[in-house]
Amino acid sequence: MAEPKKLEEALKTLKDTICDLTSLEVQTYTGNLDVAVTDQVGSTKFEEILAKVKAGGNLKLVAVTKINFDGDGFVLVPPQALPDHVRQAHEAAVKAGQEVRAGLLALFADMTGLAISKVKP
Amino acid sequence: MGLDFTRGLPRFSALVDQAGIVPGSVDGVLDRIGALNVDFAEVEEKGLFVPLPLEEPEKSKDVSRIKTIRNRLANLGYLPGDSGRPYLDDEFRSAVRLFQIEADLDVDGWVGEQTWTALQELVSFEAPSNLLRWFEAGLPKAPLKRAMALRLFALGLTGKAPAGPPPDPSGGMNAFVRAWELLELGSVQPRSPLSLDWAARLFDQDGLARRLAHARIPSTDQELLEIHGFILNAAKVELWLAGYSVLPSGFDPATRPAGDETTGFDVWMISSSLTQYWRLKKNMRFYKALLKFWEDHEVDRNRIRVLTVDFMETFPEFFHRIAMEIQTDAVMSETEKAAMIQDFLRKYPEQIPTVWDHVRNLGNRIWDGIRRVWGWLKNLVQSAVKKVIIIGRNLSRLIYGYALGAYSVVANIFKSLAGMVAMITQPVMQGSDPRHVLMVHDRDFDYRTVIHGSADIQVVQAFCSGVRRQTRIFAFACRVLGLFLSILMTVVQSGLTGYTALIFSLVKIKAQLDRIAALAAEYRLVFGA
Repeated sequence: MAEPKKLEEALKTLKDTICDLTSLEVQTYTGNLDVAVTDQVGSTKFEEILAKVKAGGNLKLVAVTKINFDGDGFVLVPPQALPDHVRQAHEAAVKAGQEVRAGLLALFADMTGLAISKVKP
Repeated sequence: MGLDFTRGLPRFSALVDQAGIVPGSVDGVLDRIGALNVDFAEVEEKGLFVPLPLEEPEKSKDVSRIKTIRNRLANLGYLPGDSGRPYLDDEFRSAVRLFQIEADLDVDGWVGEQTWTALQELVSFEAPSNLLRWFEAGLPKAPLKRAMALRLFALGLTGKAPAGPPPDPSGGMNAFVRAWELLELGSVQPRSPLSLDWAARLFDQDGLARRLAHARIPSTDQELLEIHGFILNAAKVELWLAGYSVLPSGFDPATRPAGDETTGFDVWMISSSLTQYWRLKKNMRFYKALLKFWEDHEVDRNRIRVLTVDFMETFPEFFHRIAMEIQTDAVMSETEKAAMIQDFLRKYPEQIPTVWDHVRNLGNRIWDGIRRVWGWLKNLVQSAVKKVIIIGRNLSRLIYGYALGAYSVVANIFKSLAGMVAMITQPVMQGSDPRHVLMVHDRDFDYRTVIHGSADIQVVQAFCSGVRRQTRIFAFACRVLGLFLSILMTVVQSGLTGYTALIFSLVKIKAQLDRIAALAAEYRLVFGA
């Protein structure tokens, strides 16, 4: 089994992490990142992470997908086709978001008010 | 074992009873997961379920599996004999290493999944086998030679089980080809008895039973002399697989203890020169097992006499019944199987400890003959509507195997859960490299991805596959865990307690696991691989 202390810490992180699962937003950029980044950036805010890593960056937003839990959603992509690997990365992020949401909702299956019951800080 | 099955899962049970926990709250669910993780460790500590450890344990509590491995190594000739010792010793480890060397496996002296599967493939009568991997330059490798010799011995085609160096199975295979020809079981091509085709026929016990159901009955004494050992031992193997009190111990006179007519050498016949009849001796184990088999199938007593004593004239009927039971298993759905097991447990939860008592004494029969037993059980249920069915050895095999399968899945999830959660919750997705691609998420699991202008496309693609795999595994684990928690909660709240509740819940989730696997496959079809 998992080492109890480690599992306890992981579950605490999960508890602290879960906020709003009612919508999924994915943004994909292209550009240059010049600073190495580790897994422990120390922030959960994308802007802060980017601020640390985009020292020489010149980022351009190339694709946005927003999916609401109630079925609404939109996809924004530039008129010219995205390179395959960029499109694949965007799709991978969308699917990752869907998978994680599906998993967490299944884990807390009898708690449909998960996202609503917790106030987003 | 001395386990009190009404106790167990103390931490989880305390939370279920705790009035302060709101069903379905995040805290409640996560607390239950933590409690169950500790309770599961205790389950293995007490030896209730012991999945195969990945590495050699200092001391394994999995008595039945250790005994099975030892028995199989001895049967293949890697050990001088089966001491039956239920613990690890130097002799055991050396035998495992020799097997791993001959089988081209990683040599670590411990039977993990890979070695266990290889042993199953070679020795089990029901395990699916990939015989091609055991051939080299058109000839069987050493472990397959041993396995062929073992099977030929069990089928009464040779007088010696493998012992010591890998034997040459040519003689026995020639006898197998001859039996095949005499009984008109099918094509006798190719002519080389050591070919892959003949090995496949030898190792296809289901196919052999089906073919023997339509075999030509030998008509002369000469033919009977040549063939009776094979027919009787093939039947003995089937009876053993179906759970009857007989051993697949071959046709070796040396196995008979001096002066003992009822054990070891348990297949023999008498022949009268006046009547030309060959009959089974009634004091033999084989006869008794065969008699019980037909009684269980509620055949008329007069007919039973013909089907037992005159077995050599009626054996196709026996194999026909076996073939039907194999077919019954093939058409039974997992849902139907789960329903049958649940029905027994619901009616007789007090018999659950009996299952574990049987399992301790079943040896390698826990791992073989399961498909035949399903057919047997269905037949029993259909014919015994008004009978009380006792959880005997066969039912124990099914319940244990069913529950262990589910336990292994849930326990593996617990083992990897901390790592999975850490991987999913860290803001930067594993494998990110700013020189190529960086993917991060916030607390809402909204994702931002940056692709470097001069990224290596293959690195980006490999990263994407990795992300998909990580999240897919996480989602699957969450589904299984959520479902298991929900089932266990319901079972505990319905009044079952301790390990009885755990076993009942595991049996209940087993059919669901197949459904989840099917859903996962469907999900991949919709969302891509």
